[in-house]
Amino acid sequence: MSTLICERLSASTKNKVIFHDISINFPKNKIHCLIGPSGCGKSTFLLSLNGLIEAHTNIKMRGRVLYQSKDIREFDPINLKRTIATIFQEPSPLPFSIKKNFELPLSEINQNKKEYEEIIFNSLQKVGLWNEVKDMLNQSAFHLSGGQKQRLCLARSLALEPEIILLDEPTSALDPQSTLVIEDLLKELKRTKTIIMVTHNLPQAKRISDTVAFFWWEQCCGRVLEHMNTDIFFSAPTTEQALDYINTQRL
Amino acid sequence: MRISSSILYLGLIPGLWLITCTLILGLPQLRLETFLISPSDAGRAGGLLSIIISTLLILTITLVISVPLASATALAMTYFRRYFLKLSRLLSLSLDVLSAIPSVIFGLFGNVLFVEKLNLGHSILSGGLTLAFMILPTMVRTLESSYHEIEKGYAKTTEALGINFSTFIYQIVFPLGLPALIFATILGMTRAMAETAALLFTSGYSDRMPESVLDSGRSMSVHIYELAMNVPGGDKNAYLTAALLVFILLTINSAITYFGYHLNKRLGIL
Repeated sequence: MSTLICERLSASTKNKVIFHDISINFPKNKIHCLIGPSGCGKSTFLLSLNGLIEAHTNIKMRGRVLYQSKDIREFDPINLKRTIATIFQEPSPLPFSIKKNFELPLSEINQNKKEYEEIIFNSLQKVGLWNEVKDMLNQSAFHLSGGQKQRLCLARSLALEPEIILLDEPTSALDPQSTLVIEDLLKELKRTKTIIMVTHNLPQAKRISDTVAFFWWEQCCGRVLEHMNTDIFFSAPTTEQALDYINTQRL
Repeated sequence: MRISSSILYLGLIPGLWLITCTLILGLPQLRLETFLISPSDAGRAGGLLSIIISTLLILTITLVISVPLASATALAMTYFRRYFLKLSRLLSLSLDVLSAIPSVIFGLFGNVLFVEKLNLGHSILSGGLTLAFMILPTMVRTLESSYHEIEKGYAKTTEALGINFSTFIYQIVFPLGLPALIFATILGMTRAMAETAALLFTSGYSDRMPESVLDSGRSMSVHIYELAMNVPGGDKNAYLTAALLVFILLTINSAITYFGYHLNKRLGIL
């Protein structure tokens, strides 16, 4: 069963078409990787799945994104962002203590402050960060390492109980060890969540994803040339471009 | 490199010469009475008590009016920039034009509006209000650029977390913009303290101790102008007032540098 469906989705600015006519279904409880060369619209596509791109840029969207068979434009935009969470490429903690990084978004949905501690504990436990930060919850989140910051951002989003998590190259700024921690975490999370992730790291896509959407710049805009099971994509891609891309990465 | 640093040192010479001369000519007149008694004999004798009090009153009114107004305008502009980009650009342009208007024009505006139309007369209140309007554009622009940087840095993250825009403004933009608010306040304060032209038209010349804000009052800068231009034999006290004013402005400018440094540090590392 698909949790998120894109129907003929296109994005453009006044002068440029970023991606065109993309229709993809993202089934539930799986990790979906969006791969392809830089500049073919993967990140824009990802951020259009919860409407974040339109709010912060002059990019205009056409087509529909359906969540639970309903156009995302029909949802309350603030609630939708909580249900479809976004993790950015650069870890983006708020300029407060670790604790307040959770309290501020939580205060928007839950006024019972007594519950916060438990939520913070559970979220940090899930991302394996609790033992590392339990004694410094009141310290600035900026004191954490890059990997810890990214896990904090993930934990902060998990505290809001999203159903879908969009990740835009979440490990590109991290060392290999932190990357593996995040990957393990995503594999664990897919039991209950749907994960859609942009990555340039093909071995990573191969390791953790269930499906792969291959983006390519063709006829002056980004297009999805293939969307299929990960194993099939890496063993027998159907397009020449995908084969070339996989081989170039192998080199 | 050596030429550019030589030019830099050459450029510093007139400034240092001016400050040193003012301090050398003014400070020998400094007595304890300077701060304890008001001027007498048209400013040739006595101290500067009433002048200092008038200056402080004008400055207080200026800041009480301009700080909340500038802060609210800058926050509104940050909001406008997001939803009404064209209106925000128009507002920014208007503020830039207002910043470039000579202070004497603000003086004339204050004279017509506050002194005559609102019937406040030549008073400390008229002077303070005029200065508030004069420094407002600079303060708003300083604050707005800082608020905008904060907005740019955290807006996407907060929206992705489902945080309302109003919460974002009050919980993130405003607290993080506090150093900028202090910076803008000090900047406005320095400009207001050094202002003469606008006050000549609005707060008047009286060197008596003001009994209320509706009394006429003479600021330090106006006092310097009066003693130097209209009072024969008043130059010694003009230098004393100038030395004190320079001292206060240097202190405030050092504070700007200090807060500016901490502002950058805060925006960069927090």
